[in-house]
Amino acid sequence: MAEKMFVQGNEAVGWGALYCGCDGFFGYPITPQNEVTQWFAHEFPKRGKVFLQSQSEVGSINMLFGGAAAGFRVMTSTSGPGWGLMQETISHLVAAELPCVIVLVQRGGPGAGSIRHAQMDYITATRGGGQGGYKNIVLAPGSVQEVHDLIQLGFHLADKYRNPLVILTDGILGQVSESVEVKTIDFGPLDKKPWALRGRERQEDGKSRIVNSAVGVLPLPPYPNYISWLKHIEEKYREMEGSELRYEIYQAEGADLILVAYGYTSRVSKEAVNMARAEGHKVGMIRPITLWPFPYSVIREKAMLGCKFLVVEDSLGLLIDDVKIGVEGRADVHLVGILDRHIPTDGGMIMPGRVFEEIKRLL
Amino acid sequence: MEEKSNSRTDVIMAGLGGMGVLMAGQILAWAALKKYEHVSWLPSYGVEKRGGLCECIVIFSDQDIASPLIDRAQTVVVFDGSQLKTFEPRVLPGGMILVESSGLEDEQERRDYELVKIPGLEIAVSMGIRQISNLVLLGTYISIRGAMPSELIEGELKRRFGRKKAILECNQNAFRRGLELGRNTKK
Repeated sequence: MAEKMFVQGNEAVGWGALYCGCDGFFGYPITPQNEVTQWFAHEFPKRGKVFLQSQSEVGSINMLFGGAAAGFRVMTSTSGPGWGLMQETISHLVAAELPCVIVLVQRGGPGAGSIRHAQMDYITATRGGGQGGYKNIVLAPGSVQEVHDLIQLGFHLADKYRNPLVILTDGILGQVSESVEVKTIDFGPLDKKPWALRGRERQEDGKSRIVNSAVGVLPLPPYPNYISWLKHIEEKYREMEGSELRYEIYQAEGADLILVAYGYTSRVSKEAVNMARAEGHKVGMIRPITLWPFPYSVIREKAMLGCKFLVVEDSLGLLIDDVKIGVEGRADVHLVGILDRHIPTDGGMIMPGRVFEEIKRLL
Repeated sequence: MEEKSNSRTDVIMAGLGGMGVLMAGQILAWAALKKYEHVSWLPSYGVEKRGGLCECIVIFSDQDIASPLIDRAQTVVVFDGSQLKTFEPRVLPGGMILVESSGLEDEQERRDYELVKIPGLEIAVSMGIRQISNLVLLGTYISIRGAMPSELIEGELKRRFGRKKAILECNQNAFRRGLELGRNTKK
């Protein structure tokens, strides 16, 4: 049964997780995701679920490893410096094939950067920020409702592929309140995690299990050696690319200029597209919902039709690299980025008016 | 539930941290939920616990809200008189700025909007609680702009403060004084 609520994006993380059977949250407070930690601290223990505030983000991501290895639906949430600290263990989670969800509410960087919104972790989120060149699905919500929905999809896909999954939001999407329909979304059945460490007595075959993130050192059945295991995860990545691509196309039919944006700047871009369309300009938007896998083919298709591209992202330019890969040199790709904010402080934001100005300059 | 509306209202509430700017915006947004299909409340504030620049954008509409973040709004309510100049660029041409008259030194620079000065702090102090100037200004905004029926705000105050009678009453009184002030200010 659906329940309508008016909540912040950060709180919608919690509601989404609760309604898809998340068992435990391990986290450490950091701005601008503090409402996530606060929500779990407030709502999980009273429902008999686990909330644990760790000593640091290194602690929370390793607790996540333990919870995921035991077969539970577990998650964490962080921002900026905390994301940096988690990278090593995320790589181990991929190697041990442990499903879990990591929410990254982006803030300004590098270093401690700023505690306010930004979109500056795109590369580490989409390219595997830790050692070893791994992949993980990255889901990028564009509204508070979508935060709630994609958390649930995220748990499903993490379990389906036995891989950690990243939900990439930002400080603005985390802070904004919008109406949300809170409900359980059914994605179909999954196996009961027969690989999980539950103790022999709880396994159907009565045998013990091993979870191992050093597959090259200690090969485990059914993979006789390191390369056969790498082949297996490569096949898994190809399946994710083939089956899990998601994106939204807005007003792009017959467009001369296509905006590409995710997260809060996709909302700003949508407003700018509306402003441009109202004045008769042929402008549309492609909003990748999966940032990995990335909708290169959709970008390429528009580039082949002769469209120009304008990337709108609150960074010095990271998403723009993927758009350039997509267009394969066929089209001009421009950027409205963090230097285009309305005021030159950490509180500055990319405004629809600035994007509209750039649209008019390019057409 | 009230009859659904067919319009869009946007307002920027701005001031300094500790003045109840975000709270006034929250009350407005929650009240709007009773009438509008789409509502957004977007806060923006700095690291300071008190005294830093702070604003929230509230939008309520019958249509989809493309962006909760907008450059300029139909109305800007400036809760601190010293901040008129900071927020003057944020009102749409033809719009209105309601500004707290206490501490107001800036002159109106743009001539394409209407400026209304409100002695919210003076009224709040005369009522014995300076912290409720936010509700005075909210009341004035509701009555001058006709943003929504005042009963919706009254209902939200009851929902929010109903268990704390003294707090509810002082907020109600401040809001009603604001409404009255707005009626007298109307042209």
